[in-house]
Amino acid sequence: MDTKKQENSIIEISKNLLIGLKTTIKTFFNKPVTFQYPRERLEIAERFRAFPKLNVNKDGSLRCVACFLCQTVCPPAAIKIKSGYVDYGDEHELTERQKHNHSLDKLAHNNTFNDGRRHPSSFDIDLLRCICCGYCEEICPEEAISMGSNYEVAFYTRDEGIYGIEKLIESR
Amino acid sequence: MIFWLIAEIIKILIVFAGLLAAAAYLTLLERKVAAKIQNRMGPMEAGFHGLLQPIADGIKLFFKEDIIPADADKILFLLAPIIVVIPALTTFAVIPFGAPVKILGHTVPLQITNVNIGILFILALSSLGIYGVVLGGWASNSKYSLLGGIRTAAQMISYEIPLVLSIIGVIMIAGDLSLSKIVSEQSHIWFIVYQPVGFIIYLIASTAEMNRVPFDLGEAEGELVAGFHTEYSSMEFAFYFIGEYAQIVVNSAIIVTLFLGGWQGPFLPSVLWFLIKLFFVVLIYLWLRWTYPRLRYDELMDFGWKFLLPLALANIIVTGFIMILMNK
Repeated sequence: MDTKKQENSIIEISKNLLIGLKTTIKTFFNKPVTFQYPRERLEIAERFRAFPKLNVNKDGSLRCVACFLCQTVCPPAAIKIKSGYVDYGDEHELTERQKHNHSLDKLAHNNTFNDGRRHPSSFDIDLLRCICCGYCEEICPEEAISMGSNYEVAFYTRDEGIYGIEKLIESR
Repeated sequence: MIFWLIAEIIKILIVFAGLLAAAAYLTLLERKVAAKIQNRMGPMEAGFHGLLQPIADGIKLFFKEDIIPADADKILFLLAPIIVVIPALTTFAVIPFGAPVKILGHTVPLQITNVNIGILFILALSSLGIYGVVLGGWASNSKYSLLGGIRTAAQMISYEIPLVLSIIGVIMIAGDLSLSKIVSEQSHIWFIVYQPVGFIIYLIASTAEMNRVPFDLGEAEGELVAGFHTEYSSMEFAFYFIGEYAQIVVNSAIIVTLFLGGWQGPFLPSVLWFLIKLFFVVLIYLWLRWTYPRLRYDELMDFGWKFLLPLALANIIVTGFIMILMNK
């Protein structure tokens, strides 16, 4: 039979029209796939990973030791670290080992005594540059940086996109 | 006499307010049905599940700037939306929406006026709506509006013929042009059983008559921006909108009266039966709209003249033959 004729037969056309109606009545009773975004959030998978975050010890101190490995490995150069020393206050006595560490002499001048452990005085990740590759998490020897599940980042200026230590700890 | 006057005025007010409210809430229903069919949620912000959305839309349109194009024919431009709304609302005057009720010893028919040529009245008024569209398209002084108006005029004239012919089967069986008589004739069996083809032709032709998808050639947004109401804004646009949705309600009411037994039904009050049937017919219109894509113009004309018109004529002949054979 001529296919063109078959396509144009009234029976064929009305059959196709009914198929269309059947499809829409089926989708009518489906659950909507959309949701009210700002009030309802997408349920992300447990292992979903997006932007990096900083981890802390149980006492709330940073795990990061400012080794600069992540800054070095970061492909888009999104991480900027400035290193400093942990400050334990005036009363703190230097340990035997620290007394032999002459690199601390200068710091003792300003009445700050340190145990010699480095920590980041500032740790910035530019989320506008970050490509979420996970190299920083992979290379970190202290498990101080890891990929979090925060994917909703929005800001008014580019500067707000640079997250400091506090924001990175708070982020999920 | 005074009782009759008061009852009549109250009926008119109820029907008028009810029609306007129905037209407003039909916009919400349409958006909700569209959303459900497309697996979305539709309006959810204004009120519980968007129940106040039509009111919010109305307020918004009311405060919009009223723009009239520089070279537009001002009088016709303002008149056109009104010409669309008035016939749509007036048509409901002859539709019986409930069984007669007894108030203070008087029998009040739930129908604004029982004209003995009810169907002719409906057909005459529903074809007046076309003037609003054509005048609006012409008065806007815009090529899109003009093209939309011309297209709509040709389309409405083509589909009016099968629309009228599809009703004739019902008139033949009922033997009367009065709508209340047609409803009472359906007390045993609905006319959709005798006239399934007539029902389908009326459904399709009225969809085309109302300029709705898949026959919305007059406002094809892909080609004509918005067709005949391209230049309209603010309340004039709202009037076109109200007219369009009031027409859906009225056409559904006509279908219920002619084919689905009007207000007749067991157990529940007659007005409620009428509203339930009305609601389901409206749902059919919405369902059709969100299923089919728009027809091409030549397809539209072919379908109207080469398919619907012969089918409507054949329906009349077959109905007549069967009536003679059954000696009715």
